[in-house]
Parts: sequence; C-alpha cells; structure tokens
Amino acid sequence: MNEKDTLRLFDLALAREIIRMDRDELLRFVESREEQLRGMPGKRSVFVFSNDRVSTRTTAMVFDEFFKEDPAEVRQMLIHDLCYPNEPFEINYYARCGYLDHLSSIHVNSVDEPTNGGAISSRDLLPWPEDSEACYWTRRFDVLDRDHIGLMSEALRKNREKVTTEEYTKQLLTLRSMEKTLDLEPNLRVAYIYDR
Amino acid sequence: MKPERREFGNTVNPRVTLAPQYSADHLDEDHFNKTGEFLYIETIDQEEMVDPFDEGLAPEAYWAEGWNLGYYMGYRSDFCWHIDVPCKMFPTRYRVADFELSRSFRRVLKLNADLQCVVRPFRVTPAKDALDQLHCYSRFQKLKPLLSKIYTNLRHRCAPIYEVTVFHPVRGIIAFTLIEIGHNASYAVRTAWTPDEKPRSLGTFTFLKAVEYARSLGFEHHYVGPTILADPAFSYKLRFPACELYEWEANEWVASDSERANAMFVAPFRHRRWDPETNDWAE
Repeated sequence: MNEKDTLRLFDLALAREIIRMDRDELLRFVESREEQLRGMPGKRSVFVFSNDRVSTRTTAMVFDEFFKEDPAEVRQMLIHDLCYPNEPFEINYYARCGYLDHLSSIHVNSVDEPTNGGAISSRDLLPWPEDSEACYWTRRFDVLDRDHIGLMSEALRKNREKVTTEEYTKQLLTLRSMEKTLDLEPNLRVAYIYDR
Repeated sequence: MKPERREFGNTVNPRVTLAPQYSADHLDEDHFNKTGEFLYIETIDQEEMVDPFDEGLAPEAYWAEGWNLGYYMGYRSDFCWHIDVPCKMFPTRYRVADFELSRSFRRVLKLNADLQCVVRPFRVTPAKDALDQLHCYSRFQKLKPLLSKIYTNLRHRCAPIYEVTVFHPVRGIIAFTLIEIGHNASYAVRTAWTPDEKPRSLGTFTFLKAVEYARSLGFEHHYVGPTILADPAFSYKLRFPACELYEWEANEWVASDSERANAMFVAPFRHRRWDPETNDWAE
C-alpha cells in the first residue's frame, strides 16, 4: 500500500508517431522541437544538451551517434520528454482500486484494435526489444481513458470517510481536472505509472 | 502480453549453502505416552537475514534451498503440524520446460476461456483482500492476516511480486495468484479463488496461467511453496507434471514420482533422546 503509483497526462497520438517515425523523420522532429527540449528541466533527450556539447558537433551528428547505438532508446527519451504534458500526481489507495479492481484494467491484445474500453499496457504499446536500455528505463504504465479516471473518482467518493478532507479534495479535484482535459483533448490519455 | 524484460542474465550463481540446522524442540508425545521416554523430534526451522537492496541477490538461489523470502529475512522449515500430528514439508517446484498439459488441464483452460487474465505488478485492493479472506475461510476454516497488512512494504521485497488476476466478465475478480519474479524462476506466494465457482477449477486454472507466464519469460522453474503429503490442501501439488521436491539432507531436488521421493515421504523424522538423569541429550 506504500507504493507511489502516479497518474500523468499522456499524449498517446504523439507517442505512436514517435514510435512510427524512421530515422530521417525522427531527426526532423527533434530539430523542430529542439528549443522546447533544451528548455526542459530534467530532460532525458541528452542529444540536445547544448551546454555540454562541443560547438562543432551539430544536433544531427549527436542524434546519429545515439540513434546508431540504440534507436529504441532515442524514441524512449523523446516519449519521456514530450508525451507527458504535466507533472506526476500520486494517486491514493482508494482511488486507484477503482481502476485496478475493474475489468477494464485488463489490457487489450493489440494497440491497433479499438480499445474496447480496456487500458493499454506499455508492454504492448512500446516496441522496445527485451534487452534494450530503453526497456530498462521505461517504467511500466497503463494508458487509461476518461472512463478509467471516472472509476477512480467513484471509488474515492465511496471511501470518502476513510481519507482526510484535504486529501479527498486534492485527489478528487485532480481527477476531475484530468477528466475535463481528456474531454477537450482527444489525443490525450492518462498514464497510470506503476511505482518500481 | 509481451514478456517482461529481465534486468539480469539468466545465469544464477548458487549462494553458499548453509547446512540445515536441526533443533530438537518437539516432544514426541505418542512415544512418551507409550513408553515414558523423552524422545524429541528434530526439525529444521531456520531464519537468515537477507538484504533486499543487495543487487547481487538472486532470489532463486534461496528458493532452490527451500527458503521463503520476506522483507529482510529468509525462512525455511521442514516441519508443520497437521491435525496435531507432526508432518514433513517438502519445498516444491516445477521444471517449466517439461511442463506438458494433460487432457484434463487442457479441459480446464477450455472451460475458462470466457475469463480474462492480466499479469501486472501486484497491488493490494479491497476486492483481492475480500477474495483472499473468503478463500482462506472456505479452504482452511480460518482467517489469515489481510493482504493489506502483509504486503504494506512491497517496495522493499527481494523479488518483485506480480499478480496473475482472473476477471469474470460480470463478477469482476474471481481468482488471483501472487508470484515473486526472480531472474530465472518464479515463486507463487499466495493464491485465492472464489469458492462458488467450483466446476471451473480456478485453483488449477490460476496455477496453469502462472506456469504459462513463467514459460513466457523463459524461466527454468516455478516454485509453489511446500507440499505436505497428509494435507490435501497442500498435497494437490503432486498432481501436476514435472514436479520436484526438495530433499533436505542431500540439498537436492528429486522428481516427485521417483522411488527416492517415495522414500522421503515415509522416512521418519530424526529423533534425539533426552536423558532426565544426566539432564542432557543421550548419546
């Protein structure tokens, strides 16, 4: 019960794009997002670190170096940096059980099929080979839609008396705000990230 | 579902074997009532500190010597009471590569084709807690500590615990088994199923699913805790193929259908005689 599982908004469409892109498309994508990547705190896309880089080495050169070594890791880093538009939010025990105890927490078999209301496991979404560094760094997560967040809100309300008012309010407000965001942004989902 | 990535290679170096420590703590009451002689049963009941943060720790090296792993401790024992009778316990495992489905096991899988299974990191939930208590009471006529009490510190275990959870399309969770994941073996630590779906053989079904998962990871063995021959709630483990039992004396695994296993079953406990006159163990 002490695991710190978190929720984060997740740009599923962009993640799929990053997975689909070949080397040239990916480089163009990195160049188009370079300013954004450089400005991010705690980023993992190390090939755009400007400060540590010798000025004669271009983004393309550094990108190629990483891409040749492990294309999966490059994609993983970009997903990590660009597909989570907000900070992780620690979900409490009662809310998360609304999702985990529900049939819809079962993963669909293929990400290409309609989701049937089921969550998608990162194990099915991300095509990393078993032994890649990318796989090592990716924490396991499930991609959820609005209904899953609704299940969490409902479970939290049912257990209203078991949590402090402060925690209840904080959790419920965050869940509601995520529901609203998902209503407005069809490309977005929520990642349920399992604590290690 | 895709197999998990293992963070280490498949090779596991055996740890330094500690010889089983016997202690004579249990008076053989039958013998005493008949003869008045103080004969004590010698059993193994060992504990050892284990550092869960030791990166070199290979859980299966412990499991292979009959240990269970907790947060900071390993435990192993060859003894338990069943209906007031001392019984031998044999740690049990299966060779995953040799595990072949018989017709009856295939029938169980077919019968439960409408159920959906998920394998994921274990999380305690109210539904699993309730199912676990219901299962314990119906099978063992007693309640056990809640999962939420036992597994409060999942993060600090030596081997991560995964759940194989079985969902009914209408009823939700109807069975689960918890498995510790090592580098080349898994260990089933707890299983529960709803008692009112008896025809489905959910215990067998979850077991088969756990073995299937171990196979998908390329594991060598799947451990299931001890077999107690006298107790049907534990002896069912011998029904499954490629089963091996731990031979305490020789520190070896023995095929459960071998002559040697039969000899293990009937072998008596070691005994020590207490001499009240010298107030010491007799030679």
